[in-house]
Order: sequence, then structure tokens, then C-alpha cells
Amino acid sequence: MKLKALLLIVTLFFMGCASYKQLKPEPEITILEREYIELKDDGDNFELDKDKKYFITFPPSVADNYYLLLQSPYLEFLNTYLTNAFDDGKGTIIKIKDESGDPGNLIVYPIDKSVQNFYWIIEYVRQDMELELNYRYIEKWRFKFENKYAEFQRIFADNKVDSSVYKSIGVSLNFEGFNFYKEISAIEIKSEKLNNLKKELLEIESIFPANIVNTNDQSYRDYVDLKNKVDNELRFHNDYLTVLKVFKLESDSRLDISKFSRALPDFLDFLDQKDRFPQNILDEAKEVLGGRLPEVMPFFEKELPKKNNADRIDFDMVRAEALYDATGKIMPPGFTTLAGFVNAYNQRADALKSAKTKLDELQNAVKNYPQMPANNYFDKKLAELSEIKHTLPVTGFSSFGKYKQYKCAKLLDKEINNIKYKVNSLNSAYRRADRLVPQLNTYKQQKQYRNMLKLIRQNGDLSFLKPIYKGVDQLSLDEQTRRIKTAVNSGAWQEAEAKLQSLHYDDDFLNPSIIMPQKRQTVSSLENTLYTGVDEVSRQRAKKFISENINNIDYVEELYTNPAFLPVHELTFTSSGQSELQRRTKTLNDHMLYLNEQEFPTSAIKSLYDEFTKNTGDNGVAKARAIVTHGSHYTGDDRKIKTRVAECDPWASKWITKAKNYRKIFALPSTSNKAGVNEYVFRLNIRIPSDAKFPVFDINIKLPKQVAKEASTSQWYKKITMNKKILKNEGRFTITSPTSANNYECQISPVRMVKDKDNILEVHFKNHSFKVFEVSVMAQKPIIKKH
Amino acid sequence: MKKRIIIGAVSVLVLAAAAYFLFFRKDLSDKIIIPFIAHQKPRVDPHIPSSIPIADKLDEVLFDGLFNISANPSGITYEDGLGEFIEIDHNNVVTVRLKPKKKWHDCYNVKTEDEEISISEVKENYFTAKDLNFTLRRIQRLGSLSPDYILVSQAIEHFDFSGPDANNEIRFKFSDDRIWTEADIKEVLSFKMLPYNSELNAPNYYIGTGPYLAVTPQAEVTNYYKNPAGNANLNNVILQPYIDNSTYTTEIKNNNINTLLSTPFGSVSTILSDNEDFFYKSNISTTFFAVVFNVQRLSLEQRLDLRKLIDNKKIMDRFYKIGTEQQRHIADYKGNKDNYSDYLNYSIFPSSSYYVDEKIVMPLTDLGHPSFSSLPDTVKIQTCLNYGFREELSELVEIMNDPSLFHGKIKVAAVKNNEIKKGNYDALLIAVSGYKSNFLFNLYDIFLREPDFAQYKIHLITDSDGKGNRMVNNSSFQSDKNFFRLDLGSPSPEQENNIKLLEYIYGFMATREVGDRQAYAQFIDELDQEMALGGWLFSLPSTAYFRTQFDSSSIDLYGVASQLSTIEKWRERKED
Repeated sequence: MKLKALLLIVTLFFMGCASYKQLKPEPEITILEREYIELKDDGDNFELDKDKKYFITFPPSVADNYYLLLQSPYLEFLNTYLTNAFDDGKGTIIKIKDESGDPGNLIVYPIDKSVQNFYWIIEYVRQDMELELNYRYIEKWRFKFENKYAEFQRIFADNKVDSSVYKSIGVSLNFEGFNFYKEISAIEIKSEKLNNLKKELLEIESIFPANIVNTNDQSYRDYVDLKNKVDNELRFHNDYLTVLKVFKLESDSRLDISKFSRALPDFLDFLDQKDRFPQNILDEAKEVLGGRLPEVMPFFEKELPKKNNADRIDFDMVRAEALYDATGKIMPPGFTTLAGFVNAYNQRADALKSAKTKLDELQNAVKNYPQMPANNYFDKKLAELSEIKHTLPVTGFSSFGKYKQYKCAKLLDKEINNIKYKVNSLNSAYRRADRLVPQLNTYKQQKQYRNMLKLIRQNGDLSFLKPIYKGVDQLSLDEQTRRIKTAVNSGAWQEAEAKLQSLHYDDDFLNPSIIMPQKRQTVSSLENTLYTGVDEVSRQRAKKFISENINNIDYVEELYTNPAFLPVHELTFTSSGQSELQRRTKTLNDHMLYLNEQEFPTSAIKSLYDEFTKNTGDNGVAKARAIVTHGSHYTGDDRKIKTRVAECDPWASKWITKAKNYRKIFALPSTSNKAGVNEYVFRLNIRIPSDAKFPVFDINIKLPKQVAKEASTSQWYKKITMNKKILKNEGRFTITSPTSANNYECQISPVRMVKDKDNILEVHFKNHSFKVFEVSVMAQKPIIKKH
Repeated sequence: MKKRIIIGAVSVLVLAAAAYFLFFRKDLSDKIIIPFIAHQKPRVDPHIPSSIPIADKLDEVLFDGLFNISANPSGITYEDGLGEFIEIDHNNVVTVRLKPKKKWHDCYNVKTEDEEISISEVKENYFTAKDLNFTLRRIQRLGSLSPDYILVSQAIEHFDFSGPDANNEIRFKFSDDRIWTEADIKEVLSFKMLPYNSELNAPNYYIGTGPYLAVTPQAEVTNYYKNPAGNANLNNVILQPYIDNSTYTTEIKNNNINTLLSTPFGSVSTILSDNEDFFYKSNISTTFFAVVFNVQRLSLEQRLDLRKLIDNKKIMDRFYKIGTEQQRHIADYKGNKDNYSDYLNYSIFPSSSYYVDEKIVMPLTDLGHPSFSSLPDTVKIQTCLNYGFREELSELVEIMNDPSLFHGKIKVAAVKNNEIKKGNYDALLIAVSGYKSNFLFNLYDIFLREPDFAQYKIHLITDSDGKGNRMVNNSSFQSDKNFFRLDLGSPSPEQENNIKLLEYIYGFMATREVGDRQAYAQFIDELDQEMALGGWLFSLPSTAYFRTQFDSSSIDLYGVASQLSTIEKWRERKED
């Protein structure tokens, strides 16, 4: 119990804290369509406090298309709106628009039956007040019609047209001097206003409830009556305007027979509406329009002889004859013949024009045919041509008397004959084309585009073929290009070059001016491709050979004359002439020469030298000699390569350029007795920078034990020379003997160098071996020795 | 009957010859017998060059260095002497172990009875670091007079060492300006060792540790016997005195000597051409002849003309009788024959020397024609025949006195040694022997040798500059102290050049820089061309003969190395 009391207290508390206070009318709101009803709180007005917020729940209407009307003299003290969903001001609120237009004392909210409730929210109260409020549920059509009925009646009355003039036409009124413009404009303005009125009425009608039709509802009856009046008045406006416009047309075409001719259909159409217009008006029209017909024949009699072309005669003679009939006027003599001629002439001119158009379309279709035609293409075109041929008009106007002599008649005949000839010629050409196409298609299938082009060119008079087959130029070029590329890619250099040459001299093209520049470019490009191909394959072949023989140490000299170092194909053609051919041949040969004289020796020397230095005992002499042989073919200027060659060449001088640095060199046999004694040699070029005018050095040579071990019992060297001058112990030089005690180091001292020039120290020795010896050499300034 | 008589007579003769061969032939086995001029006693000083060729060569016989220069067929070698090379570290500190058991020669007593020599050890006197220290101090004191000074100073600035340590190892700090190879180190340390108790300036040094010891150490000249602690193959080295060198070839021919280190005229001897009995070895020249001018008596102009007058080629052609049946043939170590022109000199520096051979010095070879008007009526040239090269000098005197050669302008007279000192000559014909063709060419020997052939004395006076450096004193040039009579003690129109000359000579000799030597050599040569101090005639080929008693392969005579540097290796030829 206590818990329930507590819940009640809490609920009341929260209710007391709501932002909007609901006003609950007593009696409850009724939704029936009635007059205004006062909104009361048990007989009293609701009291509103300033700055408080309120809301009142209104039920939905019984049907759609209703308005909720709220009427109060104090609306100006309130800020309000209507919404169809409300939760104490939380969430999104969609305000329903007030359609009152003038929010003074009335608010008009459109409502329907789709929601549970509508909520009128009093968002703001400017002052404490009593809410004096009337409400009303009302159908929209009724609210609108009732509100505007008076206005609708006024509009109708203001825009009625006086029918007296209409009725007096042909009776007491003719249109001579009549201001058509003014009258027509006035009627049109009124018609527009009545049409707008009618539109509004129709809008109201569109929201009629289904059950309103044929009822005695006063508003409904008022609506029906007004609507009928408006419709009748608008129909009169229309008839009157039609009459005025026909007579205005006649009036405007005076002195202009062409204009009169163009107006003939309107005149005939007008005269044909016998039920629509009163007789007086029809009679007046027959009189006025029929009165114009006598102008026709004199006009043509005068103008036709002057006509100097085969164009259509711009006059509707058929309708002119009909107007004679419609107005009951009698045709003058000769008019029938004239009308016959004009009609025949125009029929033929029209047929000619049509045939021309069709022929043009046919030719354009052939010309613009987007693909090469199928075998039966021209057969179809011949059929189309035949159809055109059958539509061609006859020639000759002999049955039209004098008119046959008229120039326009002759010109028309001529044009007809021309087109006939054209059709016949085209027929013949299409027949030939019909025979050629299968052959061309066969060539095409076989990709013999050049033969296609030859055939087309042989039939050059079939000019329509050129645009159809304009793409063959490109195909031919592409196909030849493809074949050349295929030959290049498969290494068929001679074939490729022959095809390239053939392409260069190929002038079998339909549009040379277009394709030739491309062809020249293609030939040039293919030449480059061929050259590049020959160059690359030649180089690849040479490189493969190089790769395979990089470490070959046998018959190295012969390797350099291997055909692998020749181009795979000797170029014999370029489109740019003999000098370019020579230039390319030279470039190609230069590339091969580069491979032969630089890359091969460079690679081989690097590889062999690495192998050589890894283990000089492993076939070192042969490797060194191979390196030297490679070196003899090397024409580059890479100092490292040259140095490596020099290191392996016993006759090449090894540079000593720094003092006090031991430099390792190789002593190699200069003879080739693999099983016996060989003579070894090594050369040093001592070029150590020195400020001295007469640089002098000690040369220290660390020898391998195998070379020097017998030095104490026999002279280890055969000969030592300095700049070819023999150095001997017995002279002023000191040559120390290599011994085990001094780690087999020999010193030659003092050796004077020629400043900034080559100083070649050459050492020869013999040894019972055939191998590579490593020797270390060091030079430094000497000490002064006693001995 | 006659036939029997003939056979009998022949048999008697054969027997007589056999008896002679068996009982009277001279037995030179186990001996190396070398001739010398009796009155030119070799003064042995291992640190100072001598004018007597044999004297320097005996250094190798008597003394050891820490390392000894030797040779083999491949060239110079260095062998352990008193030291053993241990190492050189990265700071160029050289470690040498001193050999502890190397005895000085005075440990032994040598007795000679009936030409039999017996040796007994009388005391123990071992080589120690003290001896090394003494030797280094002596070399340092000798300065530029000693080639060893140059040798050592370029490596060891202060001539000192540390040690020895317990392992008897000493350490030298070598200079840091080069990579010291073992050969270089041993060369630097090859100076000959003297015992610490030696006199600093003795006339002779006979106590060494070398392969041979002096038989009579107190004598002016001594023979040598194998050091018992050494490893010489032959026991005796005997110096055989002769009056002059004229009979040397005959003496070796007659088996009185077996080693002739230089032949008269340096030529190949025809009487020694039998390969069965003799072999010869050539090496680079060590002697040249020159006519040095007396600047006191000849003006500059006269000296210039006299130099032009003395045509060395004409003299040489006569000297070797070129183109005659008596031509003296020569052969050099390179294998060249009769290449006389290679020996012609045009500078103080001989053509064989480094300085000319390498064109450091490029003397004029075409001097032009002399003007006789400037010359005295007779140019008086003196020479002394009694102190070596008698044969050669006599021949030169005869040649130069030939009126057809120099238009009678020159009169050469052989005079006694005392006369030379007086300076009564316009020029002096001299032989300069023992010169080295390497950097150590000795200019003191030419310019500062006192004019006394009986002794070898270099008149060099130096002063200290107060900074520890020595500089030459002008009084080194005194007219009576050199052959040229150069004198800076009294005013002279050529005083400036004379001062320059002295400075250049000292600079050349005292520097240890090769570049400086080259520069000084150029200066001196240019100055000589200006001052015309002499006519530099020609060098004498160096040809040594040996009897085939020796195994030729055991004798290696290399370059400027002493000819006797390998003497302990000489051995007698084994009969096949």
C-alpha cells in the first residue's frame, strides 16, 4: 500500500514537472463538420499563464481533405503550431503549415484521418489570459468554394464577351476596316481569365467527396451552376476567335498569293464546319474567300513563264480548286488545264525530290557503310536502287498545252532524265561491285590486303568503293608491318628486310595522302626495329658466346675471329639512302666491335683475373696468358682492365708509384717449357713522384723461396736491366742476395730514376717450373752505403 | 847406340823435372799470398779510408761488424758477425743480440817457428756492448772522415743504443723516414768493431774478431793466420813485399804469390793467359790518374789552357799502346773488351762513378784548343813513383814528356816524396786509389790529403757551430796541406771560389742526404769547370788474378765491396 502511495507521489511529481501542460476541453472536441464550436473548460475559457506552455489534443477528421479551423481574437498573444506527433516537446517536431493566408483571427490547418491525434501546441503565452477559442472541422472543398464563391462570380461576370458582334457578321457587319488585333486580344485575355477560373473550379472538384455528386448540398449546386456558365462562355470565345482569325488571315493574304495559298487549308477547314458556325458567318466567309479566287489564274499566267528552275510550284492548286467548290464560285476557262499542269508538275517534282533523297541516302549509306560489305551487300543495294528507279516520274507535259513549253517544265524533265541516268549508272557500278566484293572478301579473309587494294585501284572508277574500303590501307600497312615484325621476331632477317623494302616501295593505297606519312613512319620504325633486332640478336649471340667463353683459356686468339662477333645479318637496305645504310652498318659493326674489343676482353679479363688471383697455382700461367691475349684485343681505356692485363703480361711494366709500399706483382714465364726450365721475366716502371732532380731509389724485391733458394750457390737471376742498361754486382750497384735470413729479399741500390719519365727495371730469371710466382716490390729512397 | 843415349838423356831430364817438381817447387797451399809495395806499409784502420788499396781490404780480414758484408753468386749478402738480427718493430726499434762468445784476437798467442805457426789461447776477452759503444763513439768523433759516420748517422741519429738486456740484446732506434729492410739494417750495422781499450787514433789496429788474426800484431806490417774461433777455409794470409808493382805479374806467374788484386795498367796480362794456371775477375775501377794543378803557380787562365792541352785520350791511347802489337788489352766486369774510352774521365768524379754514370754531373768532354801563349814555356809537372803504381806512373811520365804529344810544353819529372811537399810544381801527376763509385766517393782523398805520399793524412779542420753541428774551417785549405796548394790563409783573387770549394767539399762529404750529395757534386763539378783544378785523365781497369790453386767459384768480388770481404770462404780447388 505504502509502495503504491509512493509510486503515485513520484508519478504526480513527474507530471508536475512536464514542460507542456495539456488543456483538456470539456465538453470534448467533436469532429463532426459543423459550424464553429467554442472550446471550453467545463463552460469556462481556459486560463493561460504568461510564459507557460500548453497543448490541446484534436482528434483526426473523419475523412481526408479536411481543415481544422481555429478562431480566436487573441491569437496575436500566442505562439502556436499544429503537429501530428508530440512528446512534451522532445524529438523532431513537424509543424503543419497554416493555410489561412491571413493569420489574424483564424488558423487553417489541413488535417486528415491518418493519425491518432493532432496536437495544437501553445509554445508561448505573452500575457496571462483566458483562451477564447472556437474550432471547426470542415471539408477542404467546401471551405475553399464557400470562401471564394463571390470572387468566382465576379470573375465570370467581368470576362463575358458581348456576342452581338458575332451575331451581326454577314448581317450588319463586314470586316472591312475591322480591328482584328484589338478584338482578338481582348477575347484572348478574357478567355485566359476564364480558363484560370475553370482551373480553380476543377481543382475544387478534384477534392469533392464521392458522395457529394447529385446531392442538394447548396455549395455543390452553386458550384455546378457556375461551372456550366464558365464552360459555355469559353466555347463562345473559341468560336468567335476562330471566325475572327479566318477573316484576319484572308485580310492579311491580300496581295500575297503564296500566303493565300498557305491559308487555303484553314479556309477549307473553316468552311467545312457548317455545324459550328451560324449561316450568316459561313455565307460571309464564302463571299469573302470566293472573292479572292479570281486572282489565282492571272497570277500563274504571269509568273509561271518566268520560273527558271525545276523546283516545286509553291501553290496548293488542289485546294484552290476545292475552295472554288466550297465557295460555289465558277472556275474561269483554262483554270482546269493550269491546275492540271501545276498538279502534275508538283507531283513529278515531289517524286523527283523523293527519288533524289532516296538515291542520296542510298549513296550515303554505301559511302558510310561502317564495315567492309558482305558478299550480298550490293545485291541488296541494287534492289533498293531498283525501287528508286520505279518511283522516278515520267517526263513530258505534252497534254498540258502551252505549259509544256515552259522552261520549268523542261528543266524538270531534264532533272528527271539526269537522275534516271544516274540511277542506271549506279546500277551498273553496283553490279560490278557486287561481283568484286566476293573476291575482295576472299582476299580479306586471306589477309591479302595489298591485293585487295590493287583490285580496288584497278576498279578506281567505282569511287564508292574507296570510302568503303578506306580501312584497307591501314590493314595492308598493319599486315605488312605484322609480317615484317614476325620475320624480325623469328630472326628471318633477310625476309624481314625484303618485306620492309617491299613496303617501302608499296604505293598500292586508296588514300596515299593519308597513309603515306604513316607508312613512311612505319617503315622508319620497322627499320629501327630490324636494325635493333639485328643489333640485339647479334649482341645477344656475341654475349652468349662471350659468356660461354669468358673463362676459356685455350685458343683465346681464335675466339676473337669467331663469327659470333659478326652481325647476324648484313643490312642492305634503308629507306634513307646509302649514307644512312653505311651509317647504320657502321654503328652495328661498331657495336660488334665494341663487344669484340671491349666487352669480351673486359669480361674475360675480369673473370679470368679473379680466377687467376684466387689461386695462381691453378693453371695460372695459362690464365695469365689468356688475359694478356684478351688484353691485346682490348681497345678500351679502362685503366683497371689495362692494369690487370699488365699484371699478367711479363713484358708489361708494373707501375711503382708510391715509395715505401710493397706492391705484389706476378713473375711469369716468357717461355713455354711445361716440364723443364723456363725463363721468367717481370718489369717494373718506377714512377714515384719526387721533388729530387735526380730521384734515386732502392728497389727491394721479395722473391718466392722457390726462385731464390739456390741464390747462395748460383746467381738467381739471369739479367737485371734498368732502362735496358744491365745492372751488375761488379759495378757501382749493390745487389743484395736473397737468402733465407732476409726472407729472400733482394735489394738493388742505388737505382736512379729519370725524373717524370719511364724507368723500366727488368728482371729475368730461370726456374725449373712453369708457374706463376708472386713477387713483392718496394721502392724507397736509398741510404748511402759503404759497400 | 845413339838412340839409347837419347832415351837415357830424356829419361834423366824427366826425372830431374819430376824431382824439381817434388822437392823444389814453391808450395803455396793453404796460403793466400798478396803482394804489396814494401815501403807502402798498409795502415789498417777499419774506420778511415787508406790510400793504400790493400789496407782497406785488410779490414775485412781482421775485423767483424755486428754484421759482415759477404757475397754469393747472386750478390751481396749480410752474415752475422758479432750480432744476430732479432727483429725490427713497428717503431723502427731494431733488436740485435750480441753474440756472447766472440773473442778478441788478443785472447790468442801466436808463435812462429820454422814457418810453423802455433796458436794458444792466453786469456778470455769477449766482445761486449762496451766495445760497441767505444766503436760508435770513435766513428762519431771521426765524423765525415769516416764513411761509417755517414752510414750510421743516416739511421741512428745519436749513435747510441739501449741494453744489453739479460738476453744480451741491444736496441737501436732507427730513423722513421723509411722502411728498414733487413739488408739496410745490416748494412748500417756493418761497421767494423774495435775493442773498447783501443786508442782512438792509433797508427794501426790489429785487434779484431775477424776470420784472420795478425801473426805479429805489434809489427808495422803483419801476416795473418786463421782465427781459431773463425771458419776460414785457408790458414794463412800473407802479405808479400815488393819494391814496386812492376813484377807482380811475373811473381804470380812464378808462383811466388797466388793473389794479385790489381794488375799493372789494370790490363789483362798476356803472360797470365793460361787458364789452367790462372783465372781473373774484373770489377769496377777504384783508381784514377789525374794531373792536379798548383793554383799558387798557375793562373786561372793558365789552368784552363793547361786542361785543354792535356788530352787524356791521347795519353790513354799511348798508355795502352792502342793499335800496336804491344797493346794492353782490358776487360771489364760487364764482359766488354778493350773499351778504353769508358775509362776516360772529364771530371773530378770519374766516369765510372754514380755521379757521372747517372748524369748527375755532366762534364764537358770537348774542351776546345788551348792557347799556348798563356801557358808558361814549360809546364812543370811532378810525380812520385815510389808509392804505388810505379809502372803506370812511369809510363805516364814518358808519354807526357813526349814532345810530339804536347808540343814540348809539358815536362814531367819523377821526384822524391819530399819534393812534393815543397810545391815546386805547376801540376802534379797522381794516382787516386781506392775510390768508390757509389755515393761515398771520397773528395777528401783528392782535395784535403796532405802532399805526402809516404803517409795518408787528411787535413780537415772543423768547428762546432754551437748547436752540435760541425762546420768546416777555412784553415783546412793550407797550401802545404793539399796537392793543389789551395790556401785560404792569405788573400787570393780566387778566394771566394776557394771558400765555396771547401764548403762544397765538406758539404758533399758530411751530408747523409743523397739529394744533397747530388747537388754538391754538381756544384763541385761546375766549380771545377770554372776553376780548372786539374786534368782528370782516366781510371784504371780493375782486374784481379788468382792462381787456379783456388776454386774460382769460392771467390766473389763484387762491386765496391772489398775484394777480401769473402776471404774466409776462399777455398782451394779440389783436384778432379
